[in-house]
Amino acid sequence: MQYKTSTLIVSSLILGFIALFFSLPASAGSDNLYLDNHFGFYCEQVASSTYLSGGRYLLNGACTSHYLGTALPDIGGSNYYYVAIWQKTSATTATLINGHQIGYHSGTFDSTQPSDSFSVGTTSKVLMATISNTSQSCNYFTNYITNNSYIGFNSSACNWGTLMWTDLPLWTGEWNFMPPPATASTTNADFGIFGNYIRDVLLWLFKPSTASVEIFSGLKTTLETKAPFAYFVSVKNSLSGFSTTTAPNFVLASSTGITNSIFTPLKTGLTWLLWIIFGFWLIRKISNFNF
Amino acid sequence: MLSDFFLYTIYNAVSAFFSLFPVAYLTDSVASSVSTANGYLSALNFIVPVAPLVSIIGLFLSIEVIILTIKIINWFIRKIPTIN
Repeated sequence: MQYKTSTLIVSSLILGFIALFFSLPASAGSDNLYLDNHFGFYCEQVASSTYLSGGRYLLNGACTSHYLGTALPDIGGSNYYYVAIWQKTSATTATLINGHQIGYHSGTFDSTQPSDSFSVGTTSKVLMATISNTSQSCNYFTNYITNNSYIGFNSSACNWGTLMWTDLPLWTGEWNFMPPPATASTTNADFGIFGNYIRDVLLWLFKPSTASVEIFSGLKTTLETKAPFAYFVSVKNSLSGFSTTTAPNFVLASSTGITNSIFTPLKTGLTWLLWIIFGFWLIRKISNFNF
Repeated sequence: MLSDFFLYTIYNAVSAFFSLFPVAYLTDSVASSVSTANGYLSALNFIVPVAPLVSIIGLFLSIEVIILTIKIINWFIRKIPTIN
């Protein structure tokens, strides 16, 4: 039996989708965060703000090679530590949506932590904080903005700990399968695994880049140098400096009394007359306008 | 991707069209002449409503430019077949 080429292609696509479907994790699309299958969140001891990769920043605050993974984070000593997830709620604020305190946690997060909110950078979507201290009085909610790219915390009150953020999607399934949104810096609405694929493809196809839009601003400058527009622009610029307070080239002899009693009313009348004439001209122009 | 392609295509087409026009500039005499006229007009400001006059001239020129632009656009539209 012979198969047509198109039949083979369609069959391959169907088989590929089926394989992809069964390869998805059970947690895909769920609201649970599984730290035992994570990407990216780790830190090393740094002395100052450090750019890690993929849009993540690690702020100063000692962090002794612990990470959020399948092993207990090594934070040194018998310390408390705190893991919290904030999600961006607006352009400049984030709200604590979940957290876990004291000890390693590999399952879903508790939702018993007190909520709090603070300002965040304009580009971040999800924030993750890991904070450890010898005392729970660690002032970990005194986060502050250092600039529009990352956030920090009061390291003087938190001897050990770090704070980092990522703009990666929050859920594990998306970490595994979702590429970063192509250009979705404005909105990251979650449409599910396949929906997000389609979203990113559509954004990649149809969302114009900033450079492609801003390039048109140069046309105005170019046009202003070309004839005949350049003449108009030049005269317009010259007239823009026109002022009635310019020092006159000559002075007409007059007196205050004459000016106040004659010239000023006359000037007012002329002003009204000019505007009335302009009004009549405008009405006539509009009524006789022929498209 | 596609939007960028169309935007850059439009930009290049418009830029190529603009490149047909020669670069022009007015000498400094124009600015100095306006400045000189400014001095004479300000001397008459006590009786001649100079500021309203300039405003009206500006509005007059703006309206004429708008009308001319509309007519040019309509001229192009009428060049499209089946549109009279």
